[in-house]
Parts: sequence; structure tokens; C-alpha cells
Amino acid sequence: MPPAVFVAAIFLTSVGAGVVGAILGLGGGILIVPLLTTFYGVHMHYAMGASIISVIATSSGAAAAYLETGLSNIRVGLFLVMATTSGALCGAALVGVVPVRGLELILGLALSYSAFATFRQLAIEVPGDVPVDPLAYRFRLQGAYEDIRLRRVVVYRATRVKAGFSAMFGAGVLSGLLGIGSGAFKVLAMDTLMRLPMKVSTATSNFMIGITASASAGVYFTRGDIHPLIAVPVALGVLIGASLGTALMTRMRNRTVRMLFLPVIAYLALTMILRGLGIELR
Amino acid sequence: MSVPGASEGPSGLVERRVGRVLFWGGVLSVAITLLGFVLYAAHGELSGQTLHLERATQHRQEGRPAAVFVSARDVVNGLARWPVDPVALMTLGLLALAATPAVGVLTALVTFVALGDRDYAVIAAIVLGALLLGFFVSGGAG
Repeated sequence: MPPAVFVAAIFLTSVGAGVVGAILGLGGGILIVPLLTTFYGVHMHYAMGASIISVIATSSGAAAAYLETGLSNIRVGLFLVMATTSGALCGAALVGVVPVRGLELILGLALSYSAFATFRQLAIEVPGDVPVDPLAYRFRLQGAYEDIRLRRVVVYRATRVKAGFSAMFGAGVLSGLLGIGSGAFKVLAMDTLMRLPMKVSTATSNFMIGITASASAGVYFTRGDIHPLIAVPVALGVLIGASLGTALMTRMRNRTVRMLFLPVIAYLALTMILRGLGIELR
Repeated sequence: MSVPGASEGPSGLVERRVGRVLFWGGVLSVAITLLGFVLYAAHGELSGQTLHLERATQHRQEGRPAAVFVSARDVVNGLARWPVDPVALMTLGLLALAATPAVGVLTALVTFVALGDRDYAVIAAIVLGALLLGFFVSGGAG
């Protein structure tokens, strides 16, 4: 494939990954790694390096918007990001140690879970009274936001902080190890374990994703895994695609439309798992 | 409406400042990256054999492509040349993008100190320390 065509092709693929990622709420990173490795034969490490850059690009834009609206809780985010950055540094350090097949297998499983988490019917109602957690009280892991849909101010406070913090470390390891944002895992920790409202979990996760990815990006850079001629078209493509996808979301917030993408996700996840097990589909 | 943790009041100040840093940091980084890419294409390097993508599908241990920079010194050397090395400019943009969240955390740290919120100033300092560790100390990894 001529170089110009290659760059144009991965740019357009990244736009597509950004659109689908935004519509599904998965983020572009977890899709771009299997796409680059499966269809373009890009080495796993370069794909992960490009992905981690695209994750930071999309997170910066989204986080800025969420912070302005007050939906993203910066104190909760910074408190938990202590765990995710530590995990990301551990995960990124492991990339050179874990064989590529192992990375493919873990990525396939992470993609499967993320897709499952996205497609399960997420509860949009806010959590009721939660048990008082001394750590949440001590560190003021609480807040309030005006919910336009519910037409009231929702006041919330985190609970099970230790469990959430531990889960965040795991999400950070996955982010550093695979070059992904691992947003689905961060939302899971905040929503399910810490009982924060879904909107706050999603918005705060967006803020945390960029910081977590930034921690491992330095490791990827110094190891030579960030190839500018791959990372630039991928980052720009995912950024443009995510913006388009977010705009499209307002028109097509339909579960059936989301379901259309399910076979694509299933195919990518299965391909990665099989490759991780040493089985090539083609 | 002023509610704790929402966009008004002292906590809103941190969020607004960090939000602006993330937005403009992202815009500036993408602009630098895009400029480097346009210069690279304008030099005709996308159409010739000089595009260093030949090793993109190989394991990095088989030889680092010339287009891959692994230290800030490589980037500075590339930028100091005339004409400027477009790949160095692209890498500068990527590094600026990667550093944008760290600048956001630094902004949060400064604002928490100004607001007298010692707990969160310390937490922001810990996060910033972890990010700096990733950039500088891990240089020997791999």
C-alpha cells in the first residue's frame, strides 16, 4: 500500500472508530487497536501508542465541556486518579514484558466486557440514600448537579471508597497495558461500587481518562511506541470522528441503532481473543 | 443556582480553570501536530519512498524507524534545524497533547493552594508527581 494511501486509510478508519466509539460510549481507543492490527497489520505496540494519544485528545475536549457544566466532579476525579495513574504506570511498564498474544487476549476480553457494559440497560435514575463512608466524608467526595431531565438538583455522596479506589487501580493497569481509556471500567467502579449517579460517573470518568492515559503516554514515548505517522492521523481521525459521533448521538439515540454495531464489536473482540490464543481467522 | 460541587462557587473556579486549560491545550497541540503533518506532506514525503512506515508492521526491536523520536532532545534537535524537521514538529504536538492533562492537574494544584484547600492541593501534587514519573523516570524502561 503506498504511504499516502496508508495514512489516508488509517485516518478514515480512525474517523469511523471515533464515530462508532462516541455513539456506543466506548471511546475510540479500544476499537482502534484491533482495527489497526487486524486490517492494516500495524504492530500492536504502535497501535497502542497511537491509541493512547487519541484517548488523550478526545478526553481533553470532552472533559473540558463536562467540567464547565459542573457534571464532572473534579475532587472525586483527582482522588480516584491517584489510583488510576499508579495502575497505568504499572500497566505501561508491563507492556514490554507481556507477550503480544497476551495483550491481544486481554484486549479482546476488555473489549467484550466494555461492549457488554455499554449494551446493558444502564440505570438512569439516581441512587437513593447510600451508607455513610468515613473516607467519602473526610475527602468531601460529594456534590450536586442540576438534572434537566429530572427537573431537580441531584445531591450525591460516594460510598465504598476503598473498593472503588482498588477497582480504579485495576482500570489504570488495563489503560496502561492496552493503550485504552478503560472508561467502561472506571464508570463501573463509580456507578456500581461507589454509587455515584451515572451522569456524574460518565463525566468524571472522561476527565480521569485523559490524566490516566497521560501517565502511560510518557512510558510509551520513551519506549519508541509512538510513531508520529501513525499516531497523528489516528489522533486527528478519532477526534474528528468523536465530535461527529457526539453530534449524531442527539439524532440517533436509539437502542436499535446501537445494536447495529454489536456484530462489529463482537467480531473485533473475537478476533483479538482468537489471535491471543494463537488462532488466525484468515 | 449555587450548589456544592456544581459549576458555581469556589469549587466551580477549579473546574472552570482546568476545563479551559484542557480545551486550549488540546487545540494548541492539535494545531502544532497538524502544521507538522501539512509540512511533511508539502515536502512531498508522503508520495516518495522516504516515508518511514516500512517498519510499522514489524516489531520495534527489529529497528526503530527514523520517524520515531524517543527523547525530548531528539525533538529539540529536529526543531533547531532549518528547515524545521516536520516529524519533530508532529512529535512536539503529540508531546504537548500528552502533557495537557498534567498542565490541567498543575492548574488544579495552584487553584487549590489559592483557595486554601490543603487536602486537594496534596492530592493534586501526588497525581502530578505520578505523571512526571511517567514522563521522566520511565525513560529507562524498555
